[in-house]
Amino acid sequence: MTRARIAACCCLLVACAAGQASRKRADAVAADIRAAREQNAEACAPQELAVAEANLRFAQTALDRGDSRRADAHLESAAPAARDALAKAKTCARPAVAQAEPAPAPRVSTTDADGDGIPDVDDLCPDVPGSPERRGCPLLTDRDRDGVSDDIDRCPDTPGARDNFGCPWPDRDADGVADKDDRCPDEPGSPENQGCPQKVLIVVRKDRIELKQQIHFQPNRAVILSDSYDVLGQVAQAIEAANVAIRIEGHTDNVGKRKENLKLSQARADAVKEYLVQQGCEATKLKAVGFGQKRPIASNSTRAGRTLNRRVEFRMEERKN
Amino acid sequence: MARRGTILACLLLGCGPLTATSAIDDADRALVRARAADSERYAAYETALAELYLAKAREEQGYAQYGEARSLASEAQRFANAASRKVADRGGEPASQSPKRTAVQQR
Repeated sequence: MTRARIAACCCLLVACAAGQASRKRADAVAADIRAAREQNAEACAPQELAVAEANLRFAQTALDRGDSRRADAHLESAAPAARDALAKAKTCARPAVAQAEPAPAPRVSTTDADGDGIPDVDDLCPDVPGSPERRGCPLLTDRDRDGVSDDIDRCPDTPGARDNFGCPWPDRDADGVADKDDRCPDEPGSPENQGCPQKVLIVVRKDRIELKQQIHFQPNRAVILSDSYDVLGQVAQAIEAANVAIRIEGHTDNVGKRKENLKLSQARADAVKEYLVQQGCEATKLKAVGFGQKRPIASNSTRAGRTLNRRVEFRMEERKN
Repeated sequence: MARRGTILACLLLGCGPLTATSAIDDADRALVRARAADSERYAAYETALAELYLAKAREEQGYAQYGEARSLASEAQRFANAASRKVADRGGEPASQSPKRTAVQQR
């Protein structure tokens, strides 16, 4: 009985001693791991560090449970891993961070090299005298005087628009209307007609001015429609150029009462005369006569014929010298 | 009746094996996801820890140490998730992507 007790006590002592030894080994491994961590082992030897840490944790758990055999087995794995991690971490230690020389403080110059009254620190052109408005830079030249300075003028010797980088707008038909505004860029035309050639709407005959486009009025009224202004403008020019007296004749179709038609044709002839006077024709040269439906030029039985009969004619009465 | 039997069996035997297995499966899936995102390259430390803890969890489960196994599996899952996050932070593939990768992608 006594022998058994002695044997049990011996076993306990051995177990305690073994546990103590394992804890010491575990502490040593933990110290290695700490050292490796300090040397950046997580980046340099992640596998080794992980193996060491995990097995150390497992060993400590086993020791807490009193299982020193399994703890030793884990420490067998942890110890070399920790040493490897430490060794690798030492070889790939963090790169020494070179302390850069502090940059010298900027020296503020109070000199004025070009003598333009603006210190060099504020002078955008420190070597060339310039005005304070241009921060010390000279006024830029503008050889073609188009308001676009030569540094940004793509045509510095030809005046041009600012929107076109100082170059003139192209004008293919050379009619003075730039292509961008010219509705007929390949045919010369006046600016009034947006660069398009004037359409000839009249022909001056010996005894009359022939219209290629009839003058239009509001229905049953003596109000000229705006689409007839061009043709009347040309008539006015022709009258002035020819220097003749003109009889403005108003005609209608046969629709409606004869008296009414006569009255309407007279009113329309008067309206045309008034317009021509507004355009600069002398009133004394013009005479307005309404003929009503008396002088048809086509059959009133058809719509087309009636349209032709509703007209204004310009007859030359005499030539003035 | 069957439900009562299951509950009774659970009470008698304890749910340790079930919960440990579930925790190990979760950790395993998290690790697969992390590996699919190339965590072994960009988060080697966390991935290695996850692998070791998961292996240890399985070992403890083998010894019927279910509590310890569950705890280790949880740790393994935490490390696997950390690895995935690290990869995602580096601008790698999102960790939630399918683990299936072609040879070209792995290059």
